[in-house]
Formats: sequence, structure tokens, C-alpha cells
Amino acid sequence: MNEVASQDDLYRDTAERFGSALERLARAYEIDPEKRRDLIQEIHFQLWRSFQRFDARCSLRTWVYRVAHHVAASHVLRERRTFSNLVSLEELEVLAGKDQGHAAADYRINLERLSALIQQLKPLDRQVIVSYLEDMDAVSIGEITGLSPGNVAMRIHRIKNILARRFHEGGSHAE
Amino acid sequence: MRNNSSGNDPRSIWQNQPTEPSVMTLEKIRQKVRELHAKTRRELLIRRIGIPLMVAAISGFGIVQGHDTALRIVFAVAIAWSLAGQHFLGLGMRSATLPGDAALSTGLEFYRREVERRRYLFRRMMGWSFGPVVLAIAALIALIVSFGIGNRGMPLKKTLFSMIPFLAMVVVWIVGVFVIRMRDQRELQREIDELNEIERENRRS
Repeated sequence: MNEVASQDDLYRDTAERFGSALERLARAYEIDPEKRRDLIQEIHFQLWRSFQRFDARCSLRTWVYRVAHHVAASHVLRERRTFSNLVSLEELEVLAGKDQGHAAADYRINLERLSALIQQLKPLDRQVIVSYLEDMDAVSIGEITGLSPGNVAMRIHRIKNILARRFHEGGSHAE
Repeated sequence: MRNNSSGNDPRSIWQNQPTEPSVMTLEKIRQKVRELHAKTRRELLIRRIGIPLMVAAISGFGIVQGHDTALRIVFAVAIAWSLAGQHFLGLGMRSATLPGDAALSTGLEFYRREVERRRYLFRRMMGWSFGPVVLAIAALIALIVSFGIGNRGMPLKKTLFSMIPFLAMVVVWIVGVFVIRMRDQRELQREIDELNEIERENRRS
């Protein structure tokens, strides 16, 4: 009974703390609002299920993001029958170099452009960019993705280049 | 939340997007469990019964209508192959839920497992699902040809000629399925190669 209670409590706490972040994460994986709602529900459901096994071996945040990204990556694999339209950060960096973006004054347009850019990426690179946009440090990103610190640093460097070109972002970046 | 006066800071744009955080109630979660069970049952029914049913229908017709023992054996083999295939395909399939310990895996580990599982399923699907259907259709074509020659006294050339639309449809379907599956396989393999490269980079850094 206690186990069930703690599973429910953990879920409620998580939904409260990470609810908005999970919504944003779903936006990185699904553009269609209807499907996105289903994806968010799926993430919440799988999180609740996963808390049966939560043993604090990693932080709650790492756990939550891992489950959410796993559900979302499975969703991408299921929905998108081929990978041919998805690119890696490396390829996107090359494309960004050719296509210099224009900073838009409209917030909504900027958000749509950012979402569209993220949705071009392969699932693993999407995990990195979403974590970066959520202000996570390289160590946390490494824990979630399984990438080494050097690998994360290299990808963040690429992300910064791409974003700087597309959004004329200022020079200050938090690591 | 970040507050960037320029309004062009991607992290600020990202974090300030409007959201409607939803907390699923326990009742909603229970409903989701029921829906998932129903979905899994539905998918299994379509995958596991649809193909054998098609093979059984073609082969059943062939066994009843045909008089050639060799052809009847081929039809029976197609049914047995298809039934065995459903057993082996079922071993690789997972219900619509994540494994309970999924959160213990990193993104890289989980993604690799998912891609490999998909590649494995595609391969098995070709052998155990597509194979019996092709065999049953090939036997059906042989049955129709033998019927045309034996019962109607038509020459082989004329029999085949009269079947051109059907044969063309079958060939287009087989080639289409084969090409799509092969493309999927190549893309999954490319994805695995990229993951291998990422792991090599991981070890180097």
C-alpha cells in the first residue's frame, strides 16, 4: 500500500515540478497538437508506471527526463517511418551556415522556428538540444543521454553555432 | 524562467512558451491502462491473425479446389509457415508500454535498443510474415495455370497472357513491399552505424 502511495506521491510531485518542462519536451517531438496531447498523456502515464521502480539511484530530474525522452523517441520511431528527413547536429550546422536566419520580432514566429529546427534533428541530438534549452549543464545532459562530457561539449558547441546563426543570439551562453 | 530583453535568446524563447501543465488523475491513469491493454490486444489481433487468415484463405481455396497433391502440400506448408511465423514474431513484439526499468537506461542505450529491436522485427517480418503470403500466392498462380491448361485446354502462353493484370499486380506488390522494407533496413542500419560512431566518440573523449 505504502509503495502505491509513494508511487502516486512521486508522480504528483513530478507533475507539479516538471509539468511545464514536459509540455515543452513534447513540443520538441510532435508538431501536431492532437498527437502532442496524446504524447504528453503517454509521458505522464509512463512516468507514473516507472515510479514503481524508482530507487533514487539517479536524481528525480534525470529519471523524469530519461523516461520522457524514451517515450518521445519511441513515438518518433513509430510515427516517422523513415529517418531520411532527420538530420544530425553536424548536418544541421552545415545547413545553418548556408541559411542565415533573420531574427524575427514576433515571439510566436521565433518559437515556431525554434520548434521546427529541433524537429529536424534525430532523437539523440534532440535530447541534447532540449536539455540545453532547459538550462541543464553538461553533466546533467550526459547523465540523461549517456554521452560523454566531451561529446556533450562538442554537441553544445554545435548547438550554439546553429542557434547563433538562426537567431543572432548574443555571445553569453551558460554551460 | 529566463528573462532576456532581446527576445531572441533561444533559451528564453523556449522556456517562456505558453504551456498548460496537465496532471493526470489516478482515474485518468487507470483509463489509460485499460486503453493500452485494448490497443495491445487490437494490434496483436491485426498482426497475428490478419496475415495467417489471408494465407489460410488463399491456401484453403487452393487445397479445396486443387487436385494436384504437390500443390496441396505447398499450400499446407504456407499455412504451417504462417502459423509458426506468428509464434516467432510474437517473441520479438512488445506491448505498447515501456519496459519497467527503461529509466535506468540512458538515452543512447534506450535508443539503440529500440532501433535494433525494430531492425530485428523488420527482418523477421520478411521471413515469417511476407514469405508465407508470397508462397501462397505463387501456389495459387500455379493452381490457376494448371487449371487453365488441364480443364480448359488452354496453352500455357495463353493462360499466362490472360493472367497478366493479376500477375502484374502481384509483382508490383511484392517488389513494392520488398523495396520499402529494404529501404527501412538500410536506414535502420545507418542509424545503428551512427550510434556506433557516437559510442566510439564517447570512448575517445
